[in-house]
Amino acid sequence: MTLESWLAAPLAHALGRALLHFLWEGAVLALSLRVVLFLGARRPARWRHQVAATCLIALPLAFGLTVALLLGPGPSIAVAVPPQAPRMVLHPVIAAGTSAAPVDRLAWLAPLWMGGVILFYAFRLAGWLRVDSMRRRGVCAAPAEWQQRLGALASAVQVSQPVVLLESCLARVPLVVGYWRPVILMPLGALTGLSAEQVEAILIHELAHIRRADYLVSLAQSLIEGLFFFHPAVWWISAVVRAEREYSCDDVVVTLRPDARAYAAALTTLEQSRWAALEAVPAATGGNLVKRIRRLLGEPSPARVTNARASALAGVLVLVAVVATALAVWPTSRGFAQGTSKADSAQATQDQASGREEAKLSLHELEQSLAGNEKEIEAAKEALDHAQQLLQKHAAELEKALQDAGAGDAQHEDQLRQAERALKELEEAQAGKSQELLQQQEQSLEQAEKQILDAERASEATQAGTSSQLLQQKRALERAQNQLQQLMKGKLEEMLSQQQRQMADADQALKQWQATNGTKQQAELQQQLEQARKQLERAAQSCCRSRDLLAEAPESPAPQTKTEPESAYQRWLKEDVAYIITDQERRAYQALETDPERERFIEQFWLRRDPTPGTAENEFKEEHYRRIAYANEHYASGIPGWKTDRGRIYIVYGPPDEIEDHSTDSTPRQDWLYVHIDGLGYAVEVQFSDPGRTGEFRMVGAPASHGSYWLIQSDVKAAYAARLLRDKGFPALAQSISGMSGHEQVLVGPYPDEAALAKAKAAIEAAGYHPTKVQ
Amino acid sequence: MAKTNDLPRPTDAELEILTVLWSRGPCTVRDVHSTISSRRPAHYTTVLKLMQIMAEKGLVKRDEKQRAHIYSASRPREWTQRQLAGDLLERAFAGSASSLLVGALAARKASAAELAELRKLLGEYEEEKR
Repeated sequence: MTLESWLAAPLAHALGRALLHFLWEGAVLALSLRVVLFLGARRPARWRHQVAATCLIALPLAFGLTVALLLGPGPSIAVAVPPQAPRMVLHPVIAAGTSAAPVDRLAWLAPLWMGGVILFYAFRLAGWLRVDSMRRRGVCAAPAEWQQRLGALASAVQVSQPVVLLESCLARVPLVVGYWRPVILMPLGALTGLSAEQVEAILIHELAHIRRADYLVSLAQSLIEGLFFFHPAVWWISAVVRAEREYSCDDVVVTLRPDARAYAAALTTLEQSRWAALEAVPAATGGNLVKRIRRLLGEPSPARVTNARASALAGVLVLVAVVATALAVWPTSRGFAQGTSKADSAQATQDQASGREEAKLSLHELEQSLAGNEKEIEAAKEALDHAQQLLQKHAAELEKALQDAGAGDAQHEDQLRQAERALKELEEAQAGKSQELLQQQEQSLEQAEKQILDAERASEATQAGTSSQLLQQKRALERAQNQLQQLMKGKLEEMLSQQQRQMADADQALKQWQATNGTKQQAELQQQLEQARKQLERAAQSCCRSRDLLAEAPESPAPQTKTEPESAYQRWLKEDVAYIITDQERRAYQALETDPERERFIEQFWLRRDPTPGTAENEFKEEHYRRIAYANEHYASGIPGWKTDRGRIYIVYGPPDEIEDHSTDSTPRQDWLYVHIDGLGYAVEVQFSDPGRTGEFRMVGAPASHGSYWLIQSDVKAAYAARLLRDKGFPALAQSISGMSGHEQVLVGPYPDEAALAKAKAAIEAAGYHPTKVQ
Repeated sequence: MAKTNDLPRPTDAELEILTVLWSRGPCTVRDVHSTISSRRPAHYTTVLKLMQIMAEKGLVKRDEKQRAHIYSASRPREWTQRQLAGDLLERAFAGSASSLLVGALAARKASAAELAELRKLLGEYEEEKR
């Protein structure tokens, strides 16, 4: 209902007619552009680009003006646009609101066109988002020296905005993205694959694009293309703008770097490198690059081909212009007669008129018959008005009668029905008449057509072919768009359901894991705790014993022990375990008197730390002495390796997960990174520097963790769980630390402060995980 | 360690690191970090963790012979490009995006015949000069 009423609105009618008018308007504009460019063949590319761009802008202006003229009454319409009359006819019918107001078939063009424009814009928007994402996705900063060179070139090309040069793994050709904060994307390998001069030439080309605001022009162009997607002339004009744009930028390059050959070679190399090794190069021809290279090298383009192509294009455009004129004039004047005619007559009109230039030739005849038609319609309109008056009169009488008395209803109803019938008859008669007239017109049109066909069969055949090809292409395009939409929808749904399945699986597995492993782990922990407690008791006992011994001893050889600092037992305390012994242990050890006691203490010391107490090997002890040996071997510098800061950190925390070596810098530096240190947290960084270049690196600040993390126990492979989390939009960092404790764990973070932590926690819990905080 | 023939599709953050490795060749985490942070602020630890994940997935290879581990991309960029371009959505939007691109070369690739003609033109020009 709403669509019906919308279609009946004057705007829909105006749009429908304006669209038809635009067919010839666009063709005429394209033709005039062709002529102007032909006359200005020797003008610079910049001038030609401006002309083409102006022509492109004129397209929506012409369309808008047509709509405005068709909507608003004005004296000029009668001359420029014939369809003023039908509006006059249609309006009273709509205003009267009697039976179903017949909708002009042309009005249907408006919603169809709008649907097309919306679809087209949706695709362009998606495309634009993708292009814009290229400034962030898969890019890295170009080497600083190139960034500097770009700065120098930018001032030579007079680009005022700061331009960023990036290397992109997604761009296969050099690109400019953005206008206010422009970015030049060079495909990976281009900076190293071309000579410096060639890279500069390419950069100048891109800078010229920025200087000329071509990115904005391209967006605007896209908007206009979308508005008139149905018109080949618009696409042609747009292509001309693109071609002249490239010529203009080529001209800037050649002005600044006269070695055209090197530039042409660079373009060719880049074009060639677009083809990844395994891709096949298609054999289609007709590209612009060959023309550009010819132009750069000062070679004449093969004139024959160009002329043939130009004349073919001109032919097509003339055809389009003529057909469009016929289309625009014919259906609108027909719409006149159509005001109350039946639906299929409009269909016949469109079929008739589609793509036939003969329509124009028979226009003369048609106008004559139309003059007669107009009179008939006028008469019909009068009859209709009369019938309406009658109807109103009857209705008034009926109402009066109803008011007078409740009886006699049937009689009045009969009267009313009669009146309605009379009106219907009148309408039918009118419709029949218009139909007759239409048939007459069609016949005359057919005759005209035959004559023309006989006279111009040869040329006509090719032209008709072209227009039917256009129609075919349009239909194929529509089909392809439909298919694409369906495919996209299907794919999205598939992805969604897959993700949901994966999440469900993960949740289930998590529950299972918690059910089985959770309790086991707890039991293990308790066991360990028990062991630790026992060890502690043992230590306390020996401690007490030593104290007792000390107290009991009279004037024993105590001083003798103290004067034996170099003994193996002293060295053990001060060197071997200096970094790992606890204060309590140290005191207990120092309290010991006899060597056998010390021997036993040392044995106990290692035993307490043995990760596998049942076995002969003590992995902890072995590893500890290995670390000392490693430190002495690698970090010695005047002082023994184990005494240096690096040695100490190495012995205490073991080999770092990562070392960044900058020992050749002006201020030699080394950064060590540990994924996790018990008691210190995750992502612990230790920095060393050697400002004096003595070879001994000193620690700069204590080992510290960077922010806090949420830790999630994972029952699936940590990397996979991390990926799922990242897909759910958690901050970039989610990482597996499997292998640390034998469990699969995922770290989410780092979060710099409490507020961020709390916010993240809520989000993680909402996603169905139970995070624990780690520092 | 993921099998090499079904590497996961890199995320955007991983793609950035791969891009650095393709551009600069094998390098350390510190190098990657300094390249990335010249464009946007980035934590060193974040980069390190990402690269460790990538090594686990098999996206990058880690040379542990030296003390500062050297990372390199495990696949050439063409392989990943094809992997990314293979997506149907990607292809659909790539078509629409191509006409918005502004750059030294057209959105449409040249054909084999055109490339041959270009090389011929350059060759002829060279000969004329001599």
